[in-house]
Amino acid sequence: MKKVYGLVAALSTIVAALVASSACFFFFYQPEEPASLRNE
Amino acid sequence: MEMLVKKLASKISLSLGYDAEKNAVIAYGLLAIVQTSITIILTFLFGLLVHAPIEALIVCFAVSLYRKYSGGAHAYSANFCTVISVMYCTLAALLSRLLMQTYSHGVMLITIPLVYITVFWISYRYVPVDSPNKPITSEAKIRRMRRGSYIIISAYMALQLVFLILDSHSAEFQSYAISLLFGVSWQAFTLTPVGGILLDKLNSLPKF
Repeated sequence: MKKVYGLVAALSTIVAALVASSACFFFFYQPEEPASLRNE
Repeated sequence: MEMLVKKLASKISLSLGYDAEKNAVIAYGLLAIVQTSITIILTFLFGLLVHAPIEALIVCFAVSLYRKYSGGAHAYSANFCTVISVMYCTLAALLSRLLMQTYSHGVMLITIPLVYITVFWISYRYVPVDSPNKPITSEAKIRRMRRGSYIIISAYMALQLVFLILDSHSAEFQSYAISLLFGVSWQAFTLTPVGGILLDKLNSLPKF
């Protein structure tokens, strides 16, 4: 199970980094961005 | 949706021994994956219901790609965002199909330049429209967002021309051309103060 969790964590981190470079999440919602991803 | 994602992210972080910041990053990425997937799947399914799945997806991707660079008015929750996104994409797809019955190449030749001139002007005037959860203050990032918006709008214009050229070969392209116009104009509208007021009004509806 740890391997699956590790995989999900890695994928989520990559997506988080990709989303961080854009002005908006996907459609009409923008959750609070984690401090480490902030590039105002 | 957010609660479930946060619970799953906490479970993963606990199992892997991650700290609070890493947990927040995982939850953020996971929410992006889950919300994007659910929105696309629901848009496709509701599009099938109105016999216009491709049109619904054209509207969905036209709005979201442009939005990545332009920002815009926001919903109060991921669930509400998914509801209004799917509703708009389905409605626009249905309208595209209906308007196809009265499609006129000449009318499109006038409408397309008018829409894109307005969209370019709105982008020049308002992009990027940030949110309190993700403020954009750096000049470099503002310039990058504006440039990205112009590139995306130019790509849509090129696609619009392709649809315009192909519309005499197949009626499907008439409907695709209309749905692309619905997508780009809706996203431009959400950048304006009036669009912001409309989203605020929708946000004040009873919560679910």
